[in-house]
Amino acid sequence: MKVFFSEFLNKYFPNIVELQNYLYSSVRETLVMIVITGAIGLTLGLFLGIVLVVSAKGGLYESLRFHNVLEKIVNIVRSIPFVILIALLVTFTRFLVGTSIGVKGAIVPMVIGIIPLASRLTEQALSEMDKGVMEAAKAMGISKPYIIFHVLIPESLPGLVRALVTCFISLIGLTAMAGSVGGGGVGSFAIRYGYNRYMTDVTIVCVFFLLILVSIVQGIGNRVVNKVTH
Amino acid sequence: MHTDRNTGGCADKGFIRPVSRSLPLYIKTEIKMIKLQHLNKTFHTAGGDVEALRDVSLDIPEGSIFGVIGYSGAGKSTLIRTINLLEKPDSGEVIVDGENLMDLSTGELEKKRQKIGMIFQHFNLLKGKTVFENVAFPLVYQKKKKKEIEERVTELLELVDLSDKAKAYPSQLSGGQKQRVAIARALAADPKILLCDEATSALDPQTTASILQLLARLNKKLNLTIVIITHQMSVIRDICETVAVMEDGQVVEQGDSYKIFSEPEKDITKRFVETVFNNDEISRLLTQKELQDKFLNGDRAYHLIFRGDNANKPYIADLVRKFDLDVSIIFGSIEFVSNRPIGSLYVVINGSERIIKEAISFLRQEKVLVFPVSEPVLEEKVS
Repeated sequence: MKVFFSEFLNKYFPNIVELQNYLYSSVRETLVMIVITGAIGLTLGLFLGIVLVVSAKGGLYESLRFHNVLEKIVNIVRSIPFVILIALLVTFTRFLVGTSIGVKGAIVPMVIGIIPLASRLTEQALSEMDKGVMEAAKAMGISKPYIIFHVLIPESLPGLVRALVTCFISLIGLTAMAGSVGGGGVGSFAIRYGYNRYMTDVTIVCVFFLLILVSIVQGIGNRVVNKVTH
Repeated sequence: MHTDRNTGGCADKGFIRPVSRSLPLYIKTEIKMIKLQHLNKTFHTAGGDVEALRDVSLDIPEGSIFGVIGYSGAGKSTLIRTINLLEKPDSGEVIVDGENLMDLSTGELEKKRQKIGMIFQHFNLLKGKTVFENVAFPLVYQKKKKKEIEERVTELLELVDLSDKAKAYPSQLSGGQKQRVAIARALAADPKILLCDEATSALDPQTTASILQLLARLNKKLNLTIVIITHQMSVIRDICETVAVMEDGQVVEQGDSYKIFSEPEKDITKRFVETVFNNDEISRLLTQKELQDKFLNGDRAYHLIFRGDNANKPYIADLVRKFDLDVSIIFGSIEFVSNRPIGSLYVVINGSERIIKEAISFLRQEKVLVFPVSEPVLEEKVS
């Protein structure tokens, strides 16, 4: 069995066998990028999304001017293609983490790139919240911060989890792209070997890996959504 | 009948309640729990300014059930929201239990709101929390001890007959049950006032009746002051002692429910009263051209409304004997308002116009309400 398996690999995935150490390190880099940018970017995005919702018309801390400015900034950053954003942020990235290449260099533009999407999706999920429930909480004499953390967020949990899943999946896409400009990870592996050197088996394995990653994130997300929906 | 009920009522009170409690009962009519004075509120919308409240003043006595009725857009929702300042009036005073809410700081207002319960048309329960957690929510916020919360919530769920649903989520409950949970939650902090914003409008008639019974029970048991906003006159009939009628941001008529029902003055009030006698159908039939030609032969149909204290006089016989008119009864019903009867009769009167006029003015002198059915009360409703 073992012999058959290694024969199969040698026959159909010769380059992968040869480059397996590179594959492992690429996978590790990708996972590191996703976890770090996910933790930083999604937290900031979530925060901005909450700020957008509570400052909107009829929100708990209504402030239309502030809301409009923030919304414009989010929209502008969102409309810049990610590859351009990386180039645009090179100086900033170098200033912040000392380098603009590799995993470290990729994380900064990825965080900036995911924040607008995360805040938009958060905003959408939160604004689906029934205004009546917020009013009821106000009528009970509950303070605004408490309403945000104990009514608005918990009641929007299913929508928020869905938004987070979408963000994570977009992040996986971003890591692949960051890889193409020297960020490392599965993306750069696929481009450098699979595309530039016509090693189709490398491309296939990379795609397969990303596919599994997306399925896992989506699967976990769906389970969590089911758990928090009543 | 009228006097019967009065003596019955007194005997009742003397028998069930300890004598010492009759004093606060007497005093309660003197204490105003809610005083709204000269409230004005204008909403500036894209479609122009909307005057939701125009110089509205109301006094709501402690322990009473006070109804506010009006069509949608009359300003009644805005009015009830001023009582806990969910809606801040542009001018005027909101005095609740002796305190002017307009003078309070945010923190003080939050404290005050805890003593003013509110329930809503769409219940507004927290979907992600169980029935128990929903009722416990305000208590958790107030940092009550866990044991205390458990006791209080159990007690409240018993009060609203939902002890067996403590672990259920709102999505598993019927509309009536959801409203009961909302009532329990509103009462959690032991408020003196319960505001009901169209609380029965999303419920079917039977569920409405049970919720109203519950409110009436709570009113007696807890000496709770209840303010009810509704567009259903039947809600007013069933539990409100006092009612205010609102139209275009103003209170156009207010007073004792029985008086409003038996002697409505404004057209809008009459329309609301008519809805309770459930005679839209009859009025429509009687005003249809073909039916009029066929059955009435040019005779006119009238709607007579009798109050309890003149209900047992033989008015129809009087019309026949004294005025020599032919009277045929089309439809009759009796409604009870504040436990006092109001009778409603649809009649067709045949005779000379002059004598009919005399007869009607005789009836009106006797305080019977007379509405010519073919007059455009209905058309107004359509427009």
